[in-house]
Amino acid sequence: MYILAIETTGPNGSAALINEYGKPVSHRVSHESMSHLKDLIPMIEDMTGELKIGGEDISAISCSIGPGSFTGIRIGVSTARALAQAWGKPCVAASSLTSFVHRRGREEGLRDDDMICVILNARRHQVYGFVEGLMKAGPYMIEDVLKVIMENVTEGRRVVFYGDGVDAYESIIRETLGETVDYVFAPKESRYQDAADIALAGLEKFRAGDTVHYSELLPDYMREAEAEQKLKAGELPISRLPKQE
Amino acid sequence: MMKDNSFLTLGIETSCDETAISVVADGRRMLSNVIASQIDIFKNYGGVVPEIASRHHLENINSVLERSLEDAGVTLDDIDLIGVTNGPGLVGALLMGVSTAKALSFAKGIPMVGVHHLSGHISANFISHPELEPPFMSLIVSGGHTEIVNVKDHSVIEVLGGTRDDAAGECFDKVARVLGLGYPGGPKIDRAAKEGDPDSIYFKRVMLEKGSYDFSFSGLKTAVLNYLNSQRQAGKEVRREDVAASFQQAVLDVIVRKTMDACLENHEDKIVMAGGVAANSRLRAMMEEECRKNGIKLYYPEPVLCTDNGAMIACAAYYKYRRNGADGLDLDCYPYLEFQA
Ligand SMILES: [Zn+2]
Repeated sequence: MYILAIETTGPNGSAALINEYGKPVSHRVSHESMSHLKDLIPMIEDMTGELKIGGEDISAISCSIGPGSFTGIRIGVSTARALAQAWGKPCVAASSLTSFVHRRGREEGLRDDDMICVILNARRHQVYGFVEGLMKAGPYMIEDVLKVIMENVTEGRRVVFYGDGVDAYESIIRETLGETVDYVFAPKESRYQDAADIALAGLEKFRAGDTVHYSELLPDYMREAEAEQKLKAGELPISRLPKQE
Repeated sequence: MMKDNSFLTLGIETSCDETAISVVADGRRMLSNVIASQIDIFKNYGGVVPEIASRHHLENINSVLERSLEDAGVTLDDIDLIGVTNGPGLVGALLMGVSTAKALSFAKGIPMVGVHHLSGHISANFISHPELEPPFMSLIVSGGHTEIVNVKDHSVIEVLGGTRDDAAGECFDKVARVLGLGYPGGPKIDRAAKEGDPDSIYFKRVMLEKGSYDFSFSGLKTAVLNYLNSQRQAGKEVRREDVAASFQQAVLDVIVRKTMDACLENHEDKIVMAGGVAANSRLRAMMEEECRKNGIKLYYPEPVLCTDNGAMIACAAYYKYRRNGADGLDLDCYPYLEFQA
């Protein structure tokens, strides 16, 4: 039996299969950025075809539910839901942020005592962030993430930064942390979300019985849509888009 | 029902704010038609907000599918073909239908076809009128489109004209807002106009250059605004019903004239109306009158099939599949997909 994993919250979509012992058996990454819709199912088809397995061999579908690109999240979640519905299999909801801890032990250069910090760019100095042991996954200002790191990381401990927040806020991080904290940026080829982590996170939850019915697999946007904020703030109607039947 | 020998198509439509899925037998017999509308949500916003529409499509689509199969008395294993709108429309909304269709197609090994939204609207008529066959002249009027299309055969079309700026329905929405009639504008204007005099105010009929089947409606909203302002400055009372009726007449005069010209010039003997505005009672009455005078047969779908639905997509998919076969699993969606044969 296998766990099928889907990750489409970052720039390049990916899919992975691991067996019930946690051994990765297949992995695909889309080489075109933001072509999740086009590539996701063909990647899955390619993997299952190669291994000659079908829906009956899948124990659960582990899906990265965000945070990340709103559109990307929805492509992954809707695909996972429909696969689960068609196959009659459960889903597992995995976080695009905390799943990075599964890099430990399999990523070269990542040490056991490194502190994993994931920051996804949410624009205007905002990030969806997670700092292992220090900050739970949530929406933060980049400055606040760095402040917590400065105040809490003890000497001899190294911080490894992941996520496209690194690309967006590299200079702010450098200026803020300076020489006070030992830190590195993950290299580009391993910096972003990956279905391999979602597979491991999914297997862990699957073993713990933490699965959901497809109708309960929901995105974790971590932020309201802009229009919802405006509606609550009384700044509507915005009404720029007519109904198109 | 138990699956007999009929060919079952599942139609999925999510191009705007309706999550709609149907099961259609042999391309024409509607077995189920489930529509989750978000119209009550968007009344608060005064229009469709793409991000919010997308969020709701995702939350609704699987239960809409479940209910649609249940209503038809079939399971996914009985489905022979999946049709899905893959353009044009709001990209985030289209994505939800297409990603679901692709996953179902792959997981169940069911062939899949991407359908143009307008091809779907026209096809609604094949469900409402089992005897209808091409060729015919078609008028598609909705919030997003105003097109005159010559349908020569199933999945063989020639677009003769379209709007150069606002769609007719978009114009109805804007004017309804200006008049304070609310959203959605089409039905509101239609209702108010019944109480008004269409000849009370003259708004220019924009016919464009001779022989053109194109439309331009963007000037009308400005004309209505200018009229309202001038009346206000003159301290005169405005009857909203009269403005609605006069405005509506100006739009419909152009639409009816051009459709009739296109039909006669191309020697067709049938006119087929489609789209949300095809439900407009005044448009139907005017079209019926003109068709009667010219010996042309008029068709339009029942009201529930005028608005966005999955049955029309299933029907269009059925004929497209028979002509061109299935699409691959790399099917993508296109917010500005061109309408062509
Ligand atoms: Zn439509």
